[in-house]
Amino acid sequence: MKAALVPAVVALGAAALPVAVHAQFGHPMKGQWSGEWGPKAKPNRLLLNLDWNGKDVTGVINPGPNAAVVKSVVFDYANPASWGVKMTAEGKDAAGKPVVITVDGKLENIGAYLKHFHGTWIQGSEKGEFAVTRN
Amino acid sequence: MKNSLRTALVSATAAVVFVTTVWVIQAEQPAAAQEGGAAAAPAQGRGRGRQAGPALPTPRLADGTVNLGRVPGEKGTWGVPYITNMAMRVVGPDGQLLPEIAQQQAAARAGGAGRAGAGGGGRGRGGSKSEPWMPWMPWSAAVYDYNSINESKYDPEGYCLPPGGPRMMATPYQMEILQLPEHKRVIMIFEGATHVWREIYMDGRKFPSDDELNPTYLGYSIGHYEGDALVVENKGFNENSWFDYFGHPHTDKMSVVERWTRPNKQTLHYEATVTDPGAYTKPFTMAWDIPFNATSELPEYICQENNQYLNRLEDDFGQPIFGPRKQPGAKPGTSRGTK
Amino acid sequence: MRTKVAVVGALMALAFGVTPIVAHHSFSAEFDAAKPFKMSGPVTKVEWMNPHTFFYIDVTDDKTGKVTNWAMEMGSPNGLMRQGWTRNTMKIGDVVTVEGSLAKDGSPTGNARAVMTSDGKRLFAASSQGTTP
Repeated sequence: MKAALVPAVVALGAAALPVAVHAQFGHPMKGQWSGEWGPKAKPNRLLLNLDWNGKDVTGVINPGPNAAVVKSVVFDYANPASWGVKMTAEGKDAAGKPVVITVDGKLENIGAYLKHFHGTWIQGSEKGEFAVTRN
Repeated sequence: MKNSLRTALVSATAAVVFVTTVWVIQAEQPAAAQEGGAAAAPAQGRGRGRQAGPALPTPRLADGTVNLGRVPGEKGTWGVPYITNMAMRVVGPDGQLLPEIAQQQAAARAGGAGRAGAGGGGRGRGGSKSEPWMPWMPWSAAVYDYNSINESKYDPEGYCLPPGGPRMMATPYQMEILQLPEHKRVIMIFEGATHVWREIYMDGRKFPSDDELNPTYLGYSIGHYEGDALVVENKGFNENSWFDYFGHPHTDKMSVVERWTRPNKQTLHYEATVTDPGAYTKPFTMAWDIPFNATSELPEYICQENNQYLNRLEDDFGQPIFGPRKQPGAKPGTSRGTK
Repeated sequence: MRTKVAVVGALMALAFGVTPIVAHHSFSAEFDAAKPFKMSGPVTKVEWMNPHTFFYIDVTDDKTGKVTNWAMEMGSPNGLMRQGWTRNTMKIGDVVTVEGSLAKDGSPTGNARAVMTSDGKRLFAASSQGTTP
């Protein structure tokens, strides 16, 4: 298989390599992020869909019927290689009642495509660790 | 008999050659400086493109439009200079380098080490604090500092991806400008930056709507002439390239207005006004000269051919940038293949 | 290797195929037409890029609950646009059902032939299936 891939790689550098050759170098929080939060035994799947409008990071956590809306994102740029990120969002719990989500984490690997965003995740009365990588 | 015939032939040939040579030399004599057009000195590139002699007048197309390319019958390409930090080319409303930049350059020449390492940069790069004239947003300054510290390690041009926007004119390879007035377009062809071309529509069209405008590396370009200047508006840049080699960020909200002029035959003057409300709080304008290489033609350059750098490139956690796709959520520092 | 199958009431199927004009690498070098799949999940990413547009879906294994992110290959943006797609046609979070052929190397990658939304919405007019091996 490798032999078959080599000419394709040489020709285009992208088609045969499953990983993205491209990158996205606008605002580092912009894009889709996948991962989990909560206890290892029973993690909650996470899909963040974030955008940058020139002033604020906006977006949605877990788009779909159980979506939570991002309310604020504040950055700490003291270390350019590892940004502090504090994010709040509003979602709904299983009963449909509003629930506040508070996220405190670090944004790393900023230059590469697979950026990391990880830290603590508080959703209503539950608390856990979270980790997402940029899709 | 043979000898004298041969001598006559040789003499005749020599005479023809002599006359032809003289005629050609005379044809190449610059016409007397007219309309004061030769005021600017020819652009001086570094290395290739060093221009000797007086400025030659700006050539024109048949209809009088400024000729930004070759004169028919001649060779020549533009020798794009290597400008690693385009923030050092920011000009004021008078078109001259900002005084702060001129001062910094003078200090660097006089003081040797200069501001290496100041303001969060690495290895001679000052980072965002050394460029206070740039209208930073906090995030764009932080990204620039990050790129300064790791010395442009993640520059996608290193992946053989094309640079978008003004960086096309700061990437040191030959390029040509082909004006096709009867087709109402201008084509620019580039040896470098992955052997690409730009098409500038000169037919008075409007930009496509946001939904139709697919963001691209080189943007969508619409141009028109204002006197002797080709003015080009550019929109619809994607976010897959770096604004310049030093890593000033940009977003897909960026628009660029370029002014191309040719003050004399040997010089292309390039000016670009950048408006990016996603990354910078105000527009800024940069300008530089590009010398003409009168005897060059464009060679081929296929960047993707043997880019071995890609095989060794790792991210901040030592993981290869190019390799099997990882499942989302992989913890930092781990390698999670897909098999 | 088990083929994951998740049946969601597929209503109006849309067919689109790998354009036979694909010049760079062949379908059969990467995918196995004898290994069809059908799976569904929410869209987590759309890469509207050359040489192939990719979109990604999270597929949950019914038995173990494990979530795997699958990469689905389509044609180039220029080719897709000629067939009525735009880069915004698929939204993040949309639950779609994808039919196609699995990658030969066992990675969670598929060549998509048909994409259906869970409410049967037709994303764009059907076109002929890619037939080229």
